Amino acid sequence: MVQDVSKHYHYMQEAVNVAESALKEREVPVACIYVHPTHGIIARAFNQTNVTLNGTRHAEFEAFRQIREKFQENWQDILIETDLYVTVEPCIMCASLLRQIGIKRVFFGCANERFGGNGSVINVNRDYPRFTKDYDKERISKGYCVYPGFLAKDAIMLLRRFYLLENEKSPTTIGKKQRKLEENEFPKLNYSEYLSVGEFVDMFGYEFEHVYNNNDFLQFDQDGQLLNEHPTGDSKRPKKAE
Amino acid sequence: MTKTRYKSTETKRNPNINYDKLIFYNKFQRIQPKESVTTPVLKPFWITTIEPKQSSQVMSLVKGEFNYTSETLKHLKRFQKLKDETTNKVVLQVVICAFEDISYTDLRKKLTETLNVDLNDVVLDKLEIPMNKPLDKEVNVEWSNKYWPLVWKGNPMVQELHESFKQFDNEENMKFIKYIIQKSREIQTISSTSKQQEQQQQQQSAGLQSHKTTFPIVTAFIDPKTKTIASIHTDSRTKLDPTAHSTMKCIAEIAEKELSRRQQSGPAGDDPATNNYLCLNYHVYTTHEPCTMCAMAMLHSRISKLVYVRESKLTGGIGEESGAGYMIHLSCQLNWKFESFRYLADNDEDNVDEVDMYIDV
Repeated sequence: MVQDVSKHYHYMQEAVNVAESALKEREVPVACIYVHPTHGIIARAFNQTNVTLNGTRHAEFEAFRQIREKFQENWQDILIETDLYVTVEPCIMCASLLRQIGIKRVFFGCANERFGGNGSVINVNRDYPRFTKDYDKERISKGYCVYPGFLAKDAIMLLRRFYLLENEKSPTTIGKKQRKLEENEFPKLNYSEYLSVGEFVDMFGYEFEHVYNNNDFLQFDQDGQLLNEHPTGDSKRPKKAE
Repeated sequence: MTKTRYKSTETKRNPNINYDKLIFYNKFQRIQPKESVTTPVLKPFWITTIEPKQSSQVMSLVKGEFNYTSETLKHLKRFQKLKDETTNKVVLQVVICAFEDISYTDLRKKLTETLNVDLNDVVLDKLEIPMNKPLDKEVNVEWSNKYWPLVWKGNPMVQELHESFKQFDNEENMKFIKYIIQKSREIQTISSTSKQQEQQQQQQSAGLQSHKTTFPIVTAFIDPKTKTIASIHTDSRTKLDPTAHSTMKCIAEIAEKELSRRQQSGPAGDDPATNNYLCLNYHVYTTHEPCTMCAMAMLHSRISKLVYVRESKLTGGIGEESGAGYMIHLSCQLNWKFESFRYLADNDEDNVDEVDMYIDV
């Protein structure tokens, strides 16, 4: 059954808002929210690596700490039903954390080409031990699915604005030609690195399979409905498979 | 399998290195891919074709504006001689820079100015070039013919091993590894004597703190400047905090110390020139191979070396055959990498206890 995509769009919008507030504090604008089906948004956080001088204080860890404080008795039961919305693909470290603590699903904006653990570098969310055969699969942390591309351009623009701000303040760039904010070019996501076509159409519907195949950006209207038109130019979308 | 992996006939052998098994001083096995490299990692570059007499002009452009490329391209030749099929004249092809570094229009303009020729006479192509070095001579020849001429200066893996060995202080390694093994054995002794007590306690109180499990895992971070322990921690995960792995605790403590140092010493103490940056170049000694999360935390913290004792076959993030075989220390090479070694214990006295193979260390 196709899911209500607009819900995910609105939650990612909220994560982007949190990232926006990171900019004001000169923190790396990567942010996340954790969403539980009945409790709603149970945690929101952005990176704290600059202020703490600790390179591991990523948004996912910060928000997880809030959840443990809030649900001391049963955070594990809560997390099994909880989705994460994060503006940038979790790094390898966070991807591993999320698996260890049993997150349900992960939605993210742009790819993390340097350190991504959900497909860009490696797939921590779905790999299993490869060299040891004799083990109980049930006792290995369960994997999770990831859905990339929600508000990818907004997530990238936040990072670009941050690096531009930092460069302007850095003494080494004074006198050099001012870089300008690139607003029109964005790297494409290669969906197959992150999820299967089956997982994609389960989320977005068969009529959007072409988005996956052509690695197009997800385009939403302001209500969070997916707008991508079929590349044939035919305004009538192909019939949904029954 | 007894096949010698890295023939080192071309380079002088060091008696303290086992080249076949990648072991230093019979005790420390370097963790690196054992398979020889047979697939090229290709990256697009700008290539221009010129006449031989123009080579000095192009070279001055390369030296002037694209000098930064020399480090990444030192495994290949800058020029390649070709014969123009139609005119039968000798021409030269030159690697300028990465395709992503400059646009076609901008580079063509620069070449026009440098060579003092018409815009249409500039020949500029995009070509895929291997960024990695093959490990044997035949593959080197094969890639040279197929992609671009590569330089061969002997087996690069042997050179890398020698480079690594040069940085390897055996005394320091032995000292700290023995120390953490001893600390780990102390935990083992305590936990075995207090096991019964602990069980009773756990039954009595269903309180969360008592869910603390004791694993004989110890990690020490060594400051490279002072060669002393900057932080040492045992595993202290609880039901309330499953992230309190020994590595994460060391990283947090080092950050907190630096933060309070900066706050206490006032503006004068907060100087970019003298501030400590994360765990830059720290050496880490740990009793059990870290999980993927902790291995990556070390990479984010910019450590330069990790030494561990016992492998974590299912959950480890470093060993070539641990977990899914990530070898995290080499997984993000374009940004940071660190050396990793496994300490080969002689006997049980020299070793640490196994922990449950399913836990993420």
